[in-house]
Parts: sequence; C-alpha cells; structure tokens
Amino acid sequence: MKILIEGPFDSESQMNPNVRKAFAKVNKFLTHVSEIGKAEGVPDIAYMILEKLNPVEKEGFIKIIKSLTLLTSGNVEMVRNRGKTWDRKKAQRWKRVSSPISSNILHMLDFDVNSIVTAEDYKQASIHLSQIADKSNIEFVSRFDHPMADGIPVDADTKRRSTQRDKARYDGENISVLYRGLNDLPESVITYMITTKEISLGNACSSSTDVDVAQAFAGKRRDGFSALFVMSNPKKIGVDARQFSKFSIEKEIIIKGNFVIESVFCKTMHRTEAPFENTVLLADGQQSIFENQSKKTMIELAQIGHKVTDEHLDLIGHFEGRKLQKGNNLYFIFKGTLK
Amino acid sequence: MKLTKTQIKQIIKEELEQVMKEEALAEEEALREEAEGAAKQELIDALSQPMK
Repeated sequence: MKILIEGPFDSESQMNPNVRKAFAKVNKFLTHVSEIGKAEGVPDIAYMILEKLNPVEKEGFIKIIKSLTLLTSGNVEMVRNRGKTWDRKKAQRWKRVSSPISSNILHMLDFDVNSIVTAEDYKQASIHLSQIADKSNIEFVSRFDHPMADGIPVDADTKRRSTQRDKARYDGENISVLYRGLNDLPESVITYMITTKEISLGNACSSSTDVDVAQAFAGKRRDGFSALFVMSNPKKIGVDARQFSKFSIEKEIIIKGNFVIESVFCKTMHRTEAPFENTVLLADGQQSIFENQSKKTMIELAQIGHKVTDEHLDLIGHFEGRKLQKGNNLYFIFKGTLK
Repeated sequence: MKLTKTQIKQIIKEELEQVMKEEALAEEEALREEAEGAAKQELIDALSQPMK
C-alpha cells in the first residue's frame, strides 16, 4: 500500500477547484447515508466522486481529511503547537483517530491508515487549516452534480428551475449562521470581548451549525463566565467537518478569520433557552463603553462575579434584573458577522 | 521678570508633578495594553479548544 509522502502545502494547488468541488459533493451527498452505511465502507456515491480525481487531487483530498481528523478528534493542543509536544509513545494510528467514513475514504485513496500520526502530520495540519479555514470551502452543489444525474433526461427549463431551488436552499441553509460556545472564562476575557469591536478567531476554531451544541458547551463548566458567539456567515467561510468528524453530532465547521461584533446581550445561562430569550441588557457592539451605558453596566456586572447575586441585582435594579436568576452564571452573547 | 525662590520651587514642583503624572499614565496604559494582550491570547486559546 502506498504511503503518502508529505510535501510542503500550497493552498492554491491543494485546495484546487476540483478538490473543493469533490469535497462539497461528498459532504452534500453523504448527508443521506446512514452512520451504519458510512461505517461499512466507502458509500457508492463517495466512491463515484472520488475515483474521478487525478493523483494530485487525491492527495489534496487526503490532506483535507487528515487535517480535519487531527483537529476534530486528534490532539488539538498539538495542532496548535504544530506537533512540538508529540510523543512517540503516545502516538496513535490513523485508523484509531479518524471516523469510520474518513478511515474508509483514506484507505480507498491509498493512504495507509495503519501508519502512525506523526509530529509532521500535526505541523502540516496546522499549516493547512490555517491556509484554508478562512476561505469559502462550502460550495454550492445541485442535484445535477450527483454522479448518476447525467443519465436522467431533464429539459433545460426544469434543470434551471431545480438548480435555482437548490441554490435558494443552499443560501438559506444553516451554514449561514455558525455558533461557538465558550465556558469558564475569566473576567479579563469577558471585559476584553465587551470592549473590543472585532475578535480574532485564531488559526482554526471549531464552530457548529447547531446552537444547542454551542450552548451545551457554553454551560458545561460553571467556574467562570459563559459566552456564545452567533456568527452570520454570508461568505460561507470555513471547512465543513460534519460528515468526516468522529463526533458528527457536533455538526462542526472549522473557521478562521475575524468576528465583527454587532450586538452584545447579557442574561443568565440556560442551556435549553433560545439565545436571545430573557435578555437583561443589550448593547451595540460597535460603540465604546463611553458611548453605551449598557456596555459599561455589563463590565461592572462582570467585575462583581460570574454567579448572579444580590449585588448584581442592586447594580442594575431589581425590576430591570428580574429576569436574572440568582445562583446561575452570567451569560454573554455576541452577535455579529464572520469576515 | 525676576522670580522669587518660592515661585521657582513652585514651578519645579508643578513640572515634576506633571512629569510623574505622565509617567504614571504611560505605565497605566502599558499595563492596560498588556492585560488586553493577555486577555486576547487567552481568548484565542479558549477558541482553539473543540466544543466537546
């Protein structure tokens, strides 16, 4: 079996249009395949798409799967430090860290899934994700992109109307809004987020298309402040990991870039409540604390502590703060756009 | 114009106070920037964690 020899990454050649399109098609058409079906082997639809790639494009596809695998189910810390803390004794095989579908596809593309994940793999994944996560890799795929659609007789008008419908669905799909939860944050970070107008998301940040996933994470630990980013994503920035992640329930999209804050909401943490329900304070994300009293009050609330007490209620007034629940964590929601 | 010793002392005192105030402000600004930089890095670290 051929073992892929890693070379330097080049975003232009590795994420070429054919690879990007194939990635989008596999993602799209795998949504209709059950988890059992994905675990049994490479589904026919994925096979038909991937077999058309040339050897260079196949390498590009392998790199995407490997990068996504290491970020979603490998050692995140090592992706961040580019493999510097890699330990030979703790190193796992690719088939252990990858999801069944990723493992099957890697195998189909002649990558040795029994090989060990190396420090170089982590380094390359970090570089690769940094290169591709701030670009739009979530392409539009219509029903006529299905490999078996060629044989179906369709008149041009029907094809145009169907494609328009698919495009409208794609534009309105939940990729247009991404969510990121944060927990256990210190006061300094909350103050920074309230005062800044734009937040850098770092090299590669996990986000989800499912608000419940992000809120569950935001409320997971109660030792610090909880926060949620609600990011509209008009440019469809990110790498779609939903079909390839070992934890497909997380509906993960890997993103990079800057998050421009439009509004800040303050309330108490409730995992099951809609994000903007029972908001106590609302502030314009682009105004300074000198222009916006709500922002100033949010910072003063944060300075008191992360758990709501009488002191918090005294500060904002008991009537104003009637929706705050004593003993629960303060929860800050930042709504804006990913750029 | 001739200045008295007391006036000269007063001017020097005011000048020194001004310089010290500016230095304290600069130091405060540097500390604030450092704290903001630390908070920014801490946030990036938090964002790099998966939502598991």
